Amino acid sequence: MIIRKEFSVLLLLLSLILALLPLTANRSFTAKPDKLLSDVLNEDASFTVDQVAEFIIREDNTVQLIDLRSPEEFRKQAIPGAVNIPYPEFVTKDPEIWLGNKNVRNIFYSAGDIESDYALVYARGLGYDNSYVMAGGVTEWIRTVMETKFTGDRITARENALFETRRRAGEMFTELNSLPDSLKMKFLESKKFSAKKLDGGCE
Amino acid sequence: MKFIKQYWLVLPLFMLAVILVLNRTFSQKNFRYDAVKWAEPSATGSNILTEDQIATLSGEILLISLGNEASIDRQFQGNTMNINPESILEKTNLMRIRKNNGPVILYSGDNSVSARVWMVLSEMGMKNIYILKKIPA
Repeated sequence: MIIRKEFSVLLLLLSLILALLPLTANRSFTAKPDKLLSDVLNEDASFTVDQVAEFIIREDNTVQLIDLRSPEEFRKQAIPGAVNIPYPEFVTKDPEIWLGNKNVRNIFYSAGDIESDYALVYARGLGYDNSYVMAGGVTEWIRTVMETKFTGDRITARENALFETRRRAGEMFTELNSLPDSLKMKFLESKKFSAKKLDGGCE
Repeated sequence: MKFIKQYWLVLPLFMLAVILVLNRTFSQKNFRYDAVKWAEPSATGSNILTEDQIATLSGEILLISLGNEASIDRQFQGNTMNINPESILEKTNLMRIRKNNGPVILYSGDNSVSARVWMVLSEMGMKNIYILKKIPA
Protein backbone atom coordinates (compact mmCIF):
# COMPACT_ATOMS: atom_id res chain seq x y z
CA MET A 1 0.00 0.00 0.00
CA ILE A 2 2.84 2.35 0.91
CA ILE A 3 4.71 1.49 -2.30
CA ARG A 4 1.55 2.22 -4.29
CA LYS A 5 1.24 5.64 -2.71
CA GLU A 6 4.90 6.42 -3.27
CA PHE A 7 4.66 5.39 -6.90
CA SER A 8 1.57 7.54 -7.35
CA VAL A 9 3.33 10.54 -5.88
CA LEU A 10 6.33 9.87 -8.11
CA LEU A 11 4.15 9.77 -11.22
CA LEU A 12 2.41 12.97 -10.24
CA LEU A 13 5.74 14.68 -9.61
CA LEU A 14 7.02 13.49 -12.95
CA SER A 15 3.92 14.88 -14.65
CA LEU A 16 4.49 18.21 -12.95
CA ILE A 17 8.11 18.30 -14.05
CA LEU A 18 7.13 17.50 -17.63
CA ALA A 19 4.52 20.21 -17.61
CA LEU A 20 6.93 22.80 -16.27
CA LEU A 21 9.87 21.95 -18.52
CA PRO A 22 10.91 25.03 -20.48
CA LEU A 23 9.83 24.63 -24.07
CA THR A 24 11.82 27.46 -25.52
CA ALA A 25 15.43 28.53 -25.64
CA ASN A 26 16.77 31.41 -23.56
CA ARG A 27 15.49 34.00 -25.98
CA SER A 28 12.80 32.68 -28.28
CA PHE A 29 9.95 34.49 -29.93
CA THR A 30 6.99 34.61 -27.60
CA ALA A 31 4.37 35.57 -30.18
CA LYS A 32 2.31 32.99 -32.04
CA PRO A 33 3.59 32.62 -35.63
CA ASP A 34 0.20 33.27 -37.27
CA LYS A 35 -0.46 36.37 -35.26
CA LEU A 36 3.08 37.66 -35.69
CA LEU A 37 2.95 37.23 -39.45
CA SER A 38 -0.40 38.93 -39.68
CA ASP A 39 0.79 41.81 -37.47
CA VAL A 40 4.01 42.47 -39.34
CA LEU A 41 2.35 42.31 -42.75
CA ASN A 42 -0.24 44.81 -41.63
CA GLU A 43 0.20 48.35 -42.92
CA ASP A 44 -0.13 49.63 -39.36
CA ALA A 45 3.36 48.33 -38.65
CA SER A 46 4.86 51.02 -40.90
CA PHE A 47 5.08 54.76 -40.73
CA THR A 48 5.68 56.85 -43.82
CA VAL A 49 8.61 59.26 -43.94
CA ASP A 50 6.10 62.12 -43.81
CA GLN A 51 4.69 60.80 -40.54
CA VAL A 52 8.22 60.50 -39.17
CA ALA A 53 9.04 64.03 -40.37
CA GLU A 54 6.05 65.25 -38.41
CA PHE A 55 7.18 63.42 -35.26
CA ILE A 56 10.57 65.08 -35.63
CA ILE A 57 9.39 68.63 -36.03
CA ARG A 58 6.93 68.17 -33.15
CA GLU A 59 9.82 66.74 -31.14
CA ASP A 60 7.48 63.95 -30.17
CA ASN A 61 9.04 62.20 -27.20
CA THR A 62 6.71 59.23 -27.45
CA VAL A 63 8.74 58.12 -30.46
CA GLN A 64 12.21 56.60 -30.49
CA LEU A 65 13.88 56.46 -33.88
CA ILE A 66 16.35 53.61 -34.20
CA ASP A 67 18.91 53.78 -36.98
CA LEU A 68 20.09 50.24 -37.78
CA ARG A 69 22.88 51.22 -40.14
CA SER A 70 26.57 51.09 -39.36
CA PRO A 71 28.10 53.79 -37.11
CA GLU A 72 29.96 55.19 -40.13
CA GLU A 73 26.75 55.63 -42.10
CA PHE A 74 25.04 57.10 -39.04
CA ARG A 75 27.80 59.65 -38.49
CA LYS A 76 27.65 60.65 -42.12
CA GLN A 77 23.90 61.16 -42.29
CA ALA A 78 21.42 60.75 -39.47
CA ILE A 79 17.80 61.66 -39.00
CA PRO A 80 17.44 64.09 -36.08
CA GLY A 81 16.66 62.40 -32.79
CA ALA A 82 17.67 58.91 -33.94
CA VAL A 83 19.83 56.56 -31.92
CA ASN A 84 22.22 54.24 -33.68
CA ILE A 85 22.01 50.51 -33.00
CA PRO A 86 23.75 48.66 -35.84
CA TYR A 87 21.57 45.72 -36.87
CA PRO A 88 24.12 42.97 -36.05
CA GLU A 89 24.36 44.42 -32.54
CA PHE A 90 20.59 44.69 -32.26
CA VAL A 91 20.04 40.98 -32.87
CA THR A 92 22.85 39.75 -30.67
CA LYS A 93 22.24 41.80 -27.52
CA ASP A 94 19.25 41.82 -25.23
CA PRO A 95 16.81 44.25 -26.90
CA GLU A 96 15.30 45.10 -23.53
CA ILE A 97 17.96 47.78 -23.09
CA TRP A 98 16.64 49.65 -26.13
CA LEU A 99 13.03 48.61 -26.37
CA GLY A 100 12.15 48.23 -22.71
CA ASN A 101 10.21 51.49 -22.46
CA LYS A 102 6.67 50.49 -23.41
CA ASN A 103 5.54 54.12 -23.44
CA VAL A 104 7.41 54.95 -26.62
CA ARG A 105 6.95 53.72 -30.15
CA ASN A 106 10.20 52.35 -31.51
CA ILE A 107 10.56 53.15 -35.19
CA PHE A 108 13.31 51.29 -37.00
CA TYR A 109 14.94 52.48 -40.17
CA SER A 110 17.87 51.36 -42.26
CA ALA A 111 19.37 52.36 -45.58
CA GLY A 112 16.55 50.71 -47.51
CA ASP A 113 13.98 48.40 -46.04
CA ILE A 114 15.31 44.94 -45.36
CA GLU A 115 17.15 45.36 -42.06
CA SER A 116 14.41 47.45 -40.51
CA ASP A 117 11.91 44.76 -41.56
CA TYR A 118 13.98 42.06 -39.90
CA ALA A 119 14.18 44.22 -36.78
CA LEU A 120 10.42 44.75 -36.80
CA VAL A 121 9.71 41.02 -36.86
CA TYR A 122 12.46 40.30 -34.35
CA ALA A 123 11.24 42.92 -31.90
CA ARG A 124 7.56 42.03 -32.22
CA GLY A 125 8.39 38.34 -32.02
CA LEU A 126 10.07 38.96 -28.69
CA GLY A 127 6.99 40.76 -27.44
CA TYR A 128 7.87 44.40 -28.17
CA ASP A 129 4.62 45.26 -29.90
CA ASN A 130 5.44 48.96 -29.78
CA SER A 131 7.84 48.46 -32.71
CA TYR A 132 7.39 49.89 -36.19
CA VAL A 133 9.37 50.69 -39.31
CA MET A 134 9.85 53.82 -41.36
CA ALA A 135 8.97 52.53 -44.82
CA GLY A 136 11.70 53.00 -47.38
CA GLY A 137 14.41 53.94 -44.90
CA VAL A 138 16.94 56.68 -45.51
CA THR A 139 16.62 56.27 -49.28
CA GLU A 140 12.94 57.18 -49.10
CA TRP A 141 13.64 59.97 -46.60
CA ILE A 142 16.09 61.62 -49.01
CA ARG A 143 13.77 61.12 -51.98
CA THR A 144 10.63 62.39 -50.29
CA VAL A 145 11.70 64.85 -47.62
CA MET A 146 14.99 66.24 -48.85
CA GLU A 147 14.14 66.42 -52.50
CA THR A 148 10.63 67.72 -52.08
CA LYS A 149 9.69 70.46 -54.50
CA PHE A 150 6.66 72.54 -55.13
CA THR A 151 5.73 72.74 -58.78
CA GLY A 152 2.66 74.24 -60.31
CA ASP A 153 0.62 77.38 -59.88
CA ARG A 154 -1.64 76.48 -57.01
CA ILE A 155 -1.23 74.52 -53.83
CA THR A 156 -3.97 73.25 -51.54
CA ALA A 157 -3.86 73.82 -47.80
CA ARG A 158 -3.13 70.16 -47.26
CA GLU A 159 -0.30 70.12 -49.79
CA ASN A 160 1.07 73.27 -48.22
CA ALA A 161 1.08 71.69 -44.75
CA LEU A 162 2.83 68.62 -46.09
CA PHE A 163 5.37 70.70 -47.96
CA GLU A 164 6.01 72.79 -44.84
CA THR A 165 6.51 69.67 -42.72
CA ARG A 166 8.99 68.28 -45.20
CA ARG A 167 10.82 71.58 -45.49
CA ARG A 168 11.20 71.98 -41.73
CA ALA A 169 12.25 68.34 -41.23
CA GLY A 170 14.67 68.73 -44.12
CA GLU A 171 16.17 71.82 -42.52
CA MET A 172 16.65 69.99 -39.22
CA PHE A 173 18.26 67.11 -41.09
CA THR A 174 20.64 69.44 -42.94
CA GLU A 175 21.39 71.40 -39.78
CA LEU A 176 22.27 68.23 -37.87
CA ASN A 177 24.33 66.64 -40.59
CA SER A 178 26.36 69.73 -41.31
CA LEU A 179 27.64 69.74 -37.73
CA PRO A 180 30.95 68.12 -36.82
CA ASP A 181 30.51 64.66 -35.24
CA SER A 182 31.32 65.91 -31.76
CA LEU A 183 28.60 68.53 -31.92
CA LYS A 184 25.99 66.22 -33.37
CA MET A 185 25.44 64.43 -30.08
CA LYS A 186 25.16 67.72 -28.21
CA PHE A 187 22.62 68.87 -30.76
CA LEU A 188 20.51 65.75 -30.19
CA GLU A 189 20.76 66.12 -26.43
CA SER A 190 19.63 69.74 -26.58
CA LYS A 191 16.62 68.72 -28.66
CA LYS A 192 15.71 66.04 -26.16
CA PHE A 193 16.05 68.53 -23.34
CA SER A 194 13.71 70.96 -25.07
CA ALA A 195 11.14 68.24 -25.51
CA LYS A 196 11.32 67.26 -21.86
CA LYS A 197 10.84 70.86 -20.79
CA LEU A 198 7.52 70.89 -22.62
CA ASP A 199 6.28 67.75 -20.91
CA GLY A 200 4.84 69.54 -17.90
CA GLY A 201 2.50 71.73 -19.97
CA CYS A 202 1.31 75.19 -18.84
CA GLU A 203 1.66 76.28 -15.24
CA MET B 1 -4.37 -5.24 -15.57
CA LYS B 2 -3.74 -5.22 -11.86
CA PHE B 3 -1.30 -2.34 -12.35
CA ILE B 4 -3.93 -0.29 -14.17
CA LYS B 5 -6.50 -1.03 -11.48
CA GLN B 6 -4.06 0.01 -8.79
CA TYR B 7 -3.21 3.31 -10.43
CA TRP B 8 -6.48 4.13 -12.18
CA LEU B 9 -6.48 7.63 -10.73
CA VAL B 10 -2.86 8.59 -11.29
CA LEU B 11 -2.19 6.99 -14.67
CA PRO B 12 -4.70 9.09 -16.64
CA LEU B 13 -3.21 12.25 -15.15
CA PHE B 14 0.29 11.13 -16.07
CA MET B 15 -0.74 10.14 -19.58
CA LEU B 16 -2.50 13.45 -20.04
CA ALA B 17 0.64 15.31 -18.99
CA VAL B 18 2.75 13.24 -21.40
CA ILE B 19 0.35 13.87 -24.30
CA LEU B 20 0.23 17.59 -23.60
CA VAL B 21 4.00 17.83 -23.37
CA LEU B 22 4.51 15.86 -26.58
CA ASN B 23 1.96 18.01 -28.35
CA ARG B 24 3.67 21.14 -27.13
CA THR B 25 7.11 19.89 -28.08
CA PHE B 26 6.29 18.84 -31.61
CA SER B 27 3.66 21.45 -32.40
CA GLN B 28 4.47 23.67 -35.35
CA LYS B 29 2.39 26.43 -33.84
CA ASN B 30 5.08 27.93 -31.65
CA PHE B 31 8.53 29.45 -31.88
CA ARG B 32 10.91 27.53 -29.68
CA TYR B 33 14.35 28.15 -31.12
CA ASP B 34 17.05 30.54 -30.08
CA ALA B 35 16.09 33.83 -31.69
CA VAL B 36 19.66 35.12 -31.95
CA LYS B 37 20.96 32.01 -33.68
CA TRP B 38 18.20 31.87 -36.27
CA ALA B 39 18.47 35.58 -37.03
CA GLU B 40 22.20 35.32 -37.64
CA PRO B 41 22.06 35.00 -41.46
CA SER B 42 20.14 38.27 -41.57
CA ALA B 43 22.98 40.00 -39.74
CA THR B 44 25.66 38.65 -42.05
CA GLY B 45 23.57 39.00 -45.20
CA SER B 46 24.14 35.37 -46.13
CA ASN B 47 20.39 34.90 -46.65
CA ILE B 48 20.24 37.38 -49.52
CA LEU B 49 20.64 36.15 -53.07
CA THR B 50 20.82 37.83 -56.41
CA GLU B 51 19.52 36.09 -59.51
CA ASP B 52 23.07 35.21 -60.60
CA GLN B 53 23.72 33.42 -57.32
CA ILE B 54 20.78 31.06 -57.79
CA ALA B 55 22.79 29.08 -60.33
CA THR B 56 25.47 28.42 -57.72
CA LEU B 57 23.04 26.74 -55.32
CA SER B 58 22.85 22.99 -55.16
CA GLY B 59 19.80 20.83 -54.51
CA GLU B 60 16.20 21.14 -55.49
CA ILE B 61 15.44 24.85 -55.62
CA LEU B 62 11.97 26.02 -54.71
CA LEU B 63 11.17 29.59 -55.60
CA ILE B 64 8.23 31.04 -53.71
CA SER B 65 6.62 34.06 -55.21
CA LEU B 66 4.90 36.00 -52.49
CA GLY B 67 2.00 37.32 -54.45
CA ASN B 68 3.50 38.05 -57.85
CA GLU B 69 3.23 34.93 -59.97
CA ALA B 70 3.60 36.57 -63.38
CA SER B 71 7.10 37.87 -62.85
CA ILE B 72 8.29 34.49 -61.59
CA ASP B 73 6.90 32.51 -64.49
CA ARG B 74 8.68 34.75 -66.89
CA GLN B 75 12.04 34.57 -65.20
CA PHE B 76 12.51 31.21 -63.59
CA GLN B 77 12.25 27.70 -64.96
CA GLY B 78 12.10 25.47 -61.92
CA ASN B 79 9.91 24.62 -58.96
CA THR B 80 7.82 27.63 -58.25
CA MET B 81 4.94 28.33 -55.95
CA ASN B 82 2.80 31.37 -55.69
CA ILE B 83 1.68 31.98 -52.15
CA ASN B 84 -0.16 34.85 -50.61
CA PRO B 85 2.23 36.04 -47.87
CA GLU B 86 -0.55 35.99 -45.26
CA SER B 87 -1.18 32.30 -45.92
CA ILE B 88 2.39 31.02 -46.02
CA LEU B 89 1.97 29.47 -42.58
CA GLU B 90 -0.88 27.25 -43.70
CA LYS B 91 -0.16 23.59 -43.10
CA THR B 92 0.16 22.58 -46.77
CA ASN B 93 2.54 25.44 -47.52
CA LEU B 94 4.72 24.72 -44.52
CA MET B 95 4.83 21.00 -45.43
CA ARG B 96 5.92 21.85 -48.97
CA ILE B 97 8.68 24.13 -47.69
CA ARG B 98 9.90 21.70 -45.07
CA LYS B 99 9.91 18.77 -47.49
CA ASN B 100 11.83 20.58 -50.19
CA ASN B 101 15.21 18.96 -50.58
CA GLY B 102 17.21 22.11 -51.21
CA PRO B 103 17.13 25.87 -50.92
CA VAL B 104 13.85 27.72 -50.68
CA ILE B 105 13.96 31.20 -52.17
CA LEU B 106 11.42 33.87 -51.29
CA TYR B 107 10.64 36.51 -53.84
CA SER B 108 8.36 39.49 -53.74
CA GLY B 109 8.12 42.70 -55.70
CA ASP B 110 8.44 44.38 -52.31
CA ASN B 111 11.59 43.30 -50.48
CA SER B 112 9.90 44.19 -47.21
CA VAL B 113 7.44 41.33 -47.56
CA SER B 114 10.18 38.78 -48.30
CA ALA B 115 12.27 40.02 -45.37
CA ARG B 116 9.40 39.83 -42.91
CA VAL B 117 8.31 36.38 -44.08
CA TRP B 118 11.93 35.19 -44.04
CA MET B 119 12.36 36.18 -40.40
CA VAL B 120 9.16 34.41 -39.35
CA LEU B 121 10.05 31.19 -41.20
CA SER B 122 13.62 31.25 -39.99
CA GLU B 123 12.63 31.71 -36.37
CA MET B 124 10.35 28.70 -36.76
CA GLY B 125 13.54 26.72 -37.33
CA MET B 126 13.50 26.45 -41.12
CA LYS B 127 16.93 26.19 -42.66
CA ASN B 128 18.06 26.98 -46.15
CA ILE B 129 15.63 29.84 -46.73
CA TYR B 130 16.83 32.75 -48.83
CA ILE B 131 15.53 36.04 -50.13
CA LEU B 132 15.89 36.86 -53.80
CA LYS B 133 16.54 40.56 -53.71
CA LYS B 134 15.65 41.35 -57.28
CA ILE B 135 14.71 39.69 -60.54
CA PRO B 136 15.85 41.92 -63.38
CA ALA B 137 13.25 42.53 -66.06
